Amino acid sequence: MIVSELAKVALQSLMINKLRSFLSMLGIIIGVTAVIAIISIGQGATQMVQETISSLGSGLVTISPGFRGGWGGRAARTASGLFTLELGEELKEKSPDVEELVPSIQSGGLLKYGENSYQASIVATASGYENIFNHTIAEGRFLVAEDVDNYRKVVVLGSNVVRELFGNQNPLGKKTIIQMGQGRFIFEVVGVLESKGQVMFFNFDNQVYIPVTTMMKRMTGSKYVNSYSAQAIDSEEAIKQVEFLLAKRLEDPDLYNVTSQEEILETIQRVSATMIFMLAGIAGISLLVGGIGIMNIMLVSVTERTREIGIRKALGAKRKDILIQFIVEALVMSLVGGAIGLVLGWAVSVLVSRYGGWAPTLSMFSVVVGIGFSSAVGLVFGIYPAMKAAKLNPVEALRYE
Amino acid sequence: MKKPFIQANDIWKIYYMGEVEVPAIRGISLEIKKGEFIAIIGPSGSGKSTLMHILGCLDKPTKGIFYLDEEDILKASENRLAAIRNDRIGFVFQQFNLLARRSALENVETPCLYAGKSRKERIRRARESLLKVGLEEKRFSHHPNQLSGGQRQRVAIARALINDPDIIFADEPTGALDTRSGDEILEIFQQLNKEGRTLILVTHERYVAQYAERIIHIKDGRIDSEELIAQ
Repeated sequence: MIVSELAKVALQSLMINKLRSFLSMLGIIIGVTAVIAIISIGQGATQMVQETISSLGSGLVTISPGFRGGWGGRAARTASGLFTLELGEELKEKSPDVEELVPSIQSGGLLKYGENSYQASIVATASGYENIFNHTIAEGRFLVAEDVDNYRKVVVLGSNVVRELFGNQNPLGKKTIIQMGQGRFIFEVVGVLESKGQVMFFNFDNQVYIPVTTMMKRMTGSKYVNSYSAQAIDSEEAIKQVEFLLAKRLEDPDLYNVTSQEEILETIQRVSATMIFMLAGIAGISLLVGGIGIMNIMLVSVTERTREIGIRKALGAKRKDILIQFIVEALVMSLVGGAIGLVLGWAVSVLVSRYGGWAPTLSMFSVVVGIGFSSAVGLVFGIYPAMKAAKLNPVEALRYE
Repeated sequence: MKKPFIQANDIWKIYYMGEVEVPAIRGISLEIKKGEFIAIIGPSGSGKSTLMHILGCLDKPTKGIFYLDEEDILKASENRLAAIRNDRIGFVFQQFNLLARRSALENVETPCLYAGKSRKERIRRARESLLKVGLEEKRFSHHPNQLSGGQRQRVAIARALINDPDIIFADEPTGALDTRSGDEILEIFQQLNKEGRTLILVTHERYVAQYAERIIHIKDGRIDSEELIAQ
């Protein structure tokens, strides 16, 4: 018997009980929608994060204090009191694969110009930072070695800061007040950076850059910096070299962390892949529930149509013919459900991607998963009712009222 | 020596209700020649329907010997029985047993579908078959619930005929019909018999049985008597 005929027969039977068919498909629809949406959203978001991290420039190695005994607290403070400017110089000089290395201190402060004020992130660093993080100078210049050597009170502004403080005025040469804690310091604007946008958890455009020495000597009196950022020729080699040097200075390897951008990318990929699979797996459970729904309705259908099965057998239908008829019916139901779910899942991921700001991706993978899973569910859960139908004794089936 | 077309020797059909044996057919032997018109008559519960199911290859006897056109049916596989039913046997039932959601034409097509015929061939044969039993062409697309009892039975006969079977089994074919349409149906059967088809009619009505050439009386699962009808 021709399968296309059976598909037609199956569609007709599904159309007779539209509401019932729809309700039976609902589980599959929801399951496939969820799986497709989760995979698509997960891939889109991961891709966006990867792109923004890559935009920081390749070969970025970060040396930061390790967190011993949890986040914050005394242990974390202890760990931060390690990095001096001299250590940074030493790391730079003695690691052949470190091309450039700058210290940095992250802080926050209020910037004022005339009536305007802006709460900005202050990064105290040195010349070279702009190259490591691929910043482009829009106007003026970045920090230079002389700024650092002479503790100059100069500042380079991110694009948001400029807009908020100066509007359309040219900020170069203007004096801005940086208020940090109890202190008020007057800085001269020497440069403006081009917009870079949101990267991961912080926005580069909200940052301002001052010489690290100015921060340490004039503002906080601290002897330590928060971290070092380095441009490596070969990230893996650079990490080895830096770790070797640090191990000699600081015996406890838990006190510091040396990570490359590649490592962070890998970690993000790994974590997000795990998350996607976990969530998709949970969504997959509803596919299972959907399958049980289909099996249930197929069992009801087989009982209701016992007489029809008897008639078909009397007319010469073989077991195989009845089996295929009911499997096709279950398959059609689950595939139609899967197709609806695919469309809905795609719609959901397009909507979410608009809010998230990434390009919606409908990968072949999620289409294959959606269609593959729904047909597998139809097959697995359709076989038992179909076998029940195929095994019916023709005489008993004909007598069924 | 060539065996008769239908040869049954000491056929038993026993149902098991738990431990209890309930014999529905208790040792029936009969021979039917090709082209005969037989009526099997008996009160309800006599086993006549069970006998028809066995002779129609819908069911196998518990024991006995049953040859259909020299083929040992007791040894035939389930698939083989399905093929025989499809190819050589046509059934007409009291309650018509049409597929409710299919048109008259689609109902008639069904055995052809299982025979693996192309759509074109199926439609050609179904139309031919329906015209032969006298259903008006405008009713071909009607569903069974849009047809009268007589028309439904015509559709059922057309369906039984579509694969050009050797034998037609009719189980109380007039039971759900008024006298007039019942007579029309019986005349169609007579016509089919004249064309050389073997007809086995199961009924409990003497009047209906009289259309046959030979009447076999069944009682309590056994053949009670046989009589020949002079036409």
